[in-house]
Order: sequence, then C-alpha cells, then structure tokens
Amino acid sequence: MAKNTTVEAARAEIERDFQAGYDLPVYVYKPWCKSCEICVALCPKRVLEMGEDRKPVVARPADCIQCRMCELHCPDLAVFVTKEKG
Amino acid sequence: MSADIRLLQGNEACAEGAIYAGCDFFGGYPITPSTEVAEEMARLLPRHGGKFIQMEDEIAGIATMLGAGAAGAKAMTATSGPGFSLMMELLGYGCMAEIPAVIVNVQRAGPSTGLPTKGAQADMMQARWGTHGDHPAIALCPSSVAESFSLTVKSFNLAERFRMPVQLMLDEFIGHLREKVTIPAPGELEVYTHPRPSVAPGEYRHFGDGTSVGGAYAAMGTGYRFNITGLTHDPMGFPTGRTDEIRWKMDRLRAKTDDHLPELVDVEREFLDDAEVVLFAYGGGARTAQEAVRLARARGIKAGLLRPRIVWPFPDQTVADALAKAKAMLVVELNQGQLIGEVRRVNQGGTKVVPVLRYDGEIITPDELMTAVEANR
Amino acid sequence: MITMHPSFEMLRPGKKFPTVWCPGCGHGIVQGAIIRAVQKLGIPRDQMVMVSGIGCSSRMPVYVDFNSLHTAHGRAIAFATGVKLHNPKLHVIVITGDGDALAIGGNHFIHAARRNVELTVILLNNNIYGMTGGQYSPTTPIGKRASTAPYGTAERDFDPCALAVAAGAVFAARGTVFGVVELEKMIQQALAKRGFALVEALSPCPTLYGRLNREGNAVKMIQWQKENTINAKAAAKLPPEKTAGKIITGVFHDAEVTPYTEVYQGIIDKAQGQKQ
Repeated sequence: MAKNTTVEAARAEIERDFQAGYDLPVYVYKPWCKSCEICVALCPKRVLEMGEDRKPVVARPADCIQCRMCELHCPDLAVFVTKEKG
Repeated sequence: MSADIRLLQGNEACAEGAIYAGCDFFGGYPITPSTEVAEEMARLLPRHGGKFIQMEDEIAGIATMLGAGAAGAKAMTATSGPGFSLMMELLGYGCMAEIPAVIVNVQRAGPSTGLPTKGAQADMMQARWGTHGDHPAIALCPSSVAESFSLTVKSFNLAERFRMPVQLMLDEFIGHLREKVTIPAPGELEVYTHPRPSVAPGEYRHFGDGTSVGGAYAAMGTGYRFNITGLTHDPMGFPTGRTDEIRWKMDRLRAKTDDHLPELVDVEREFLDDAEVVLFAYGGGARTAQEAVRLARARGIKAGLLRPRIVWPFPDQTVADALAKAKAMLVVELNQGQLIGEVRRVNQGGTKVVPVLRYDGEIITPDELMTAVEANR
Repeated sequence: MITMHPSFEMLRPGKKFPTVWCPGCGHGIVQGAIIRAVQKLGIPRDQMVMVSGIGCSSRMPVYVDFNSLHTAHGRAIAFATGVKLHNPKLHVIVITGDGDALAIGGNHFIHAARRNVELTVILLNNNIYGMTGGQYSPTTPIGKRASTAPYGTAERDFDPCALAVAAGAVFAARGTVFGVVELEKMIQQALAKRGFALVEALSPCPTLYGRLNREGNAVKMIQWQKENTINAKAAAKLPPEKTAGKIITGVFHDAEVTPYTEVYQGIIDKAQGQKQ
C-alpha cells in the first residue's frame, strides 16, 4: 500500500534517482502510488505494466510518445513523463 | 469638539459601537427584534469602506461572516433566538478554527417562534452550551443603550484578543429601548486589533502562537499561506488523529477562558458593602433591579445589586464572595431560571438563593422585586 | 529532461501524502487539473483561497499550497462569499461535492449564483455520499443503488449545470476525469471568469458507487466515461439515437454579468459620495 511522505521527502528521493542516472521516459514515485492501475490502462502505447509489487513499471520505454496520459490521469501525482514531447 | 450626544435604541448603538471598534464586515439575516442592527450596518459600513451582506438564511449569515473573519476582517452578525439556534454549528466552527467574530443575539421570548416582539433572557445557557462538543464561550450582556455601544466595542476587543467568536447577548428590552448616548471620541475607548505575524512565512504556524490569547495570526493574501479546518488539527492546521495533538488543541481552546479568568471578570456592584439582600441581575432585567435596590435603600432595607456584564465565563469567585456576605441572593431572570443554576453551583456557604423570575414577555417590575426583597430581608 | 513532477511546487509543504482518497478515486485527477490550471494562469499562490465543505471532495484544500478553508457541510459557498466580498483581490475557488453543494448546500449554491459572486465552484460529482459510506445524493441517477437505497433510488436527480444557469451563474461546464485535458481547459476558463462560474467534474467513486452498482473498479469506471459521455458540440452533429443515454459534457453557458463585488464597490462609492 502507499507510504506517507511529505512532498519535500518525495522531492529528495526523486532527485536522488535522477542523480543516480534514471533516464526512462516515465518516472513512478512508488510511495504515493495506490495501485489503481489507471495509468497502465490509459497509456495508448501500453508502455506501462503492473510490477510484482503491484506498482507500474516502464516495460516498453521505447514506445512512449510523451502524451502524458499517465501523468494527467494519476490521481496521486505519482507519475510524470521525463522527456519533452517530440 | 462638542461631545457626540445621540438618542439611540440599543440595536442602533450596537451598530455604532461595531463601527467604532473597526468592524468592516457584517453578514446576517433579518429577524425581529434584531433587524435594526443589520439595517444600521447596511447604512454605516459602506461609508467606511466596509462590506454588508444580507444572506439567504442565518447559517449563511454566520458562515459568510466567519469566512470574512478567516480572511482577516473584523466581522459581525446579529440575530435572535430562531436564528441563534441555526447558527450553533458554526459558532462551534468559529471556536475550533479560532476566528475572531462578534455574534449579537437580541433575545426574544421563545421557545420556537414565541413572542417575536417581546423580550426575554432564555438563551443564556444556549450561549454557553448550544453548540456541540467542549468549547470555550465568552458572552456579554448590556443593561443600557450606552453599554450596547461600549460592550460591542469590548466584544470585538475580546474576539480579537481571544481569537474566537464572542456573543453579545442583548434582549429586546435593551435592543428597542431609546436613551441618550454620548458617542466616545475616537481613541477614548480602547480598540484592540490582533498583531500580525512577523516570522518568516516558512516558519509560520497558524495555530502555533503558544497560548492562543493575544497572539499574532495572519490574514489571507499577506504572504502567509495556511490551512483552516473544522477537523481537530495540529499547530499547522493539518487534521490529526494523534491523541497528544487532539489533547493539545482541546486544552488550547479551554485555556482561552480558564487560564484568563481575571481578565474576563466584569461585574457591576451597587450598595454591596453592607448588603443583606443581594439582587443578582443582568441585561434588561438589571434596570428594574437597580430601581428596586434604590427603593429598598430608601426604606432602610440593606439591599445591593450584583450585575455581571460578562456572563460567560461565569464570575464564580465574585458571586461566591457576594453570597458569603449576604443573607439572601435574589436571582432576577427573564426566563424560567437559567443562570440561577450557576449561582447555586458556587453557593458554598448555603446562603439562601431565591429565584425571582418573569417569563411572560413583560419586564419584571420594581414592585414585584420589592415584594421579593421584603419577603427575604 | 524533466526531473520533477511539475505539480509538486503547488503542494502543501510539510503535509503527508498520498491523499486520503481511495485508490482510483477521480478526485485526485480533478486536483491535478486544478493545479495545472492555476499554474497556467499564473495566479500567485498567495492570492489563491481554496474553500471547501465536508465530504471526500472537500479534503482537497489541505493538500495544496494556497490559503485554504475547510468549512462545514454544505457551507463552503457561503464562507467563500465572505472571503471574496471582504477581499476581492483574493482569487477564491470552492471545492464541493454533489451532496455538499446540492443537498445541504443547495440554498447557498443558488443564491451565490443569483448574486453572481466571483467564485470558481468545482463540483466533484461522484453521484454518492462517499465519506459517510455510500448513501445516495441529489445526483444519483434514479434506480441506482446506494447504502440508503438498497432497492434503487426513487428520486430524480439534479442537473447541476442547468440549476446553476437557471439561478444566474455566468459560466457552467461539465467535464470528466477521463477527459482531463478538456476538464483542465474548462477550469482555466472558469478561473478567468468574473462571476459565479461552475465546473461540474464527473469523478468516479469505485469504492462505493462502483461496488454498490456493480460498475467495476477504477479502470472500468474511467473507461465507462470514455464510452458514455459526449461533448455537446460533437453530439450536435449526431443523430439522436447516437447520443441517447449519453451524458453531455462541454461548456453550456458563458455570459458576461457585472460581478457582485464590483456592484458592491459602486454602493460603497455611492455611500461615501453622499457622506461628503
């Protein structure tokens, strides 16, 4: 289930991931994800899949078209697209 | 500059007092016998750049007034019994959210529709316990048109300092009584406005000002963004389920009055030093009680008057002291007996406590009071 | 490369996330649309006041870094009227639900619309009382189930947009969380309006409405919106049988009426004019 953190803590954790070289087209902040699966269902390119921990994983990064449907439909602001469109 | 002497009724003086205190918002709803307060505020506020709004019901009246208060206004509403009952939930909200506000209740005979144009004092316990849950209460009762002015100013000062709704409990007798009033010059009466915070926005905690009395708190749009909620909350104003934080908030609210009782005692004493029969009276009922005390003194009866202007918190010590020295205390009320319960509660020495009540819409007369004084001397 | 969620800057410092809403509840999607709309309009957070009532919808204000006022059930619009009238420079947005705004709050809803008080009212419509466990609300379609309608409701439902326009609102639009891009535009339009602007956001409740009416989980309910709602402009071009039974979305009303606080400023000018 989700883990309670402040936005400051979330920021720090995400910054650490990018400093460590994270470069996939979509980033999922798992502590805030409630496993509703909306992002997986609405991605027009089926880029995302639910992982073993019932959180979305970027299964097919190359197919991402930066449409941000996952980001805009996530009720918990736990997903965002990392590449500019086009 | 010649003194500003006016012939006003209590309701009008209440409105003038609000303006004097710097009130800049009134939200309310028409209801006899309080409507003149609203009518006067509708006329006066715009002249001072203030805002008046008549809402769709009393709940909306107190809600819009508390919204303005939360945003930073000195806000007020006025009503009578039926409206006062509708306002109860949000009176509690005003306490929980610690919003300064003045709620005027020009009491009429109840219950229900009752006698809309007739006076009574039967909402006194409602003022203390009308809303649900434990909460502090500050209520004042004017006995004259001049006091309708001065106690309105005092109510705003107390609301600002104690950061909570303060109830000004008039009754129709005072509300519609016309008397000569000298309007104080600006600066003559103290007008208190709560200090604004000076800490850096990042460190500001809307409910973190220590004792919550006399503290600094921010208005909206002034660089301090904060959350206000009716849910029990922590010093940041965030809802909490933690028992320590819940106790912190509940004790903070109770401490507003319990830790500041000396400052919240305002009692008028007349002829008490050697009094054997003490009349305990307040608001409209105190006017004829004053007359009865004079009549009794003229007949050599050692009578005295104890008249609280601040009724909640109840002046326990002052009443207990008066009881200890008196042979009998006549509790004069225009209801079927409400504050008499408080008098009995503090009556440690077993002094005789006698209810002298009238609840038929008429004010109790000096003769009726004299009969009671004679019977208990 | 975007290395932080663009909405994080608008979230309340020090507040614990995630939000209190159930997994897949649409309210968080509407919150995202509101945050982006405020960002795009460049409204300073210090001037924003988010006022809410009671219910699932109304837990939103604590999560955003605005001035915020979580009031009593049904009374958000009345509180918000006081905030706006006291300080017209503040940008006041009301977050309310179908029960909060249209049942207990109905009286304040129609009067604020009548007065044309400058309020952006976002009505999160999930057709149910979620917070209290699934009772039917004024927008629950007749015949649908709820904890207090085990055999289906016997009541017709309100059309909140029609109600607002009839009462005097200058703007009324309905969007869905599926159509969040369109919803965000509507919210932006409503925030820019001078007057009472309503945006009804259809926001699914999988936990209660979905379960009690066997309409599936979060994914099924948001996909249901895709198949069962249609924009008014598109619907106009289709034969009736194509749009029968579908929920119409879009902007239904957009007029210009002098807003309340400007009319009241005229009263102040008149009163102060007489005084001299």
